[in-house]
Amino acid sequence: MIKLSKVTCGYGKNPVQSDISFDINEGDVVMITGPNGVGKSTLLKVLASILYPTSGSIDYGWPDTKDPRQFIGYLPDSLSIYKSMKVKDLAELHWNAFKVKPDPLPLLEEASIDWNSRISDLSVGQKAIFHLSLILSTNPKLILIDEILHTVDPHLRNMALETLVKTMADRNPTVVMVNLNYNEVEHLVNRVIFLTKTGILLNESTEYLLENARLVIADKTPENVKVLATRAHGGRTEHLVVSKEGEQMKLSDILTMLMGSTYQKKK
Amino acid sequence: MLKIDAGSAVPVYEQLKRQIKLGIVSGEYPPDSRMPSIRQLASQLTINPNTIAKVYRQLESEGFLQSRTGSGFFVRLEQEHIDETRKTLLAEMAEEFISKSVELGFTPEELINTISIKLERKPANDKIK
Repeated sequence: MIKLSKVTCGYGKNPVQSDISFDINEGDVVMITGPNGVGKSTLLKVLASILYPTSGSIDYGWPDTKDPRQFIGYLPDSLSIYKSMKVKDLAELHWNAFKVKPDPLPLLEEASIDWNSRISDLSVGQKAIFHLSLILSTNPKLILIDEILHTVDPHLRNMALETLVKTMADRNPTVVMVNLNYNEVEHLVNRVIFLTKTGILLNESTEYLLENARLVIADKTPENVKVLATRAHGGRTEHLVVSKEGEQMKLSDILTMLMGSTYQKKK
Repeated sequence: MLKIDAGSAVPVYEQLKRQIKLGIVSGEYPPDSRMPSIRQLASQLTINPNTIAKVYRQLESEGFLQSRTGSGFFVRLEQEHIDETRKTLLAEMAEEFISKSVELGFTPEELINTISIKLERKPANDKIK
């Protein structure tokens, strides 16, 4: 289990997030989401051990591990990899650093990536695919993916997701992704952490949300239930409540409604 | 071919279970045939492999599938079971049809009438008898 305890993180004087705590079970597939600018990518960097928290701690639960990064595959939101290097040289550099000798990268051919081409000659999508296959090839215990796949065309994106799911089936790694495209991953994740400027708004299993987050249409705010979000929609007032009664919703609709509520003015 | 209805609020494992049952009783998945592997189905549909495993395990406990160590899940054929399931599925489809029609404001007579007209026009209606 990965344990984040009272983590405060950010750059400079003003922390992006303060006192964040949560656990991630081994094999979980977690989506971190929330409005722009709340520190999702920053938090992912903390999980990647690339950015140290200004206070608090992170425990991966991997005994006798000097550098947790050897077990982490991190796909950042922008790929500033060595532009003048060739694909094969970068792959070898990566494998030497991780002390692995994997089979040839499976996705390259399908994405028309030449082993001898320079990184600078690859498209944004090809770079993302190359980077993804590279991190999967080192057999990480923890896979961290930022929104980068959004820049990849639908064909390559499907291919990337397929490869990720196969890796999940084969090795059961823990996966944490920062995501705003809910439809694409709503059946992949089993836990959602919804982040706002003031901290974690929600940290629930998708099973719980699908079972208990219900849509109620009413002018008055429903009583005796926890109201997660309220919005005016199509000339009526919709409430997202924790209840056994009301209309069941898809995960993507639940999260879209939560997202909307974070933009509404406080009365 | 299994498919997820992207607009549906029905949990994805319920959708899959129902489709596979339908596939088994309709013969799309013949008795003793091997189901797609968890890995294959999960990656094809972009679904968490654990969800597929749960679907297969539930179908196994309901008697539709049988797991064989090391080689995956296979379709089980039990006539009694299949008859029962066909009836259940028909009842479910009828319920859905009725509730949607009621929402649209149709009377029971209109529903029955529509069904009989459609049955008469259906070219393969000798099959239904």
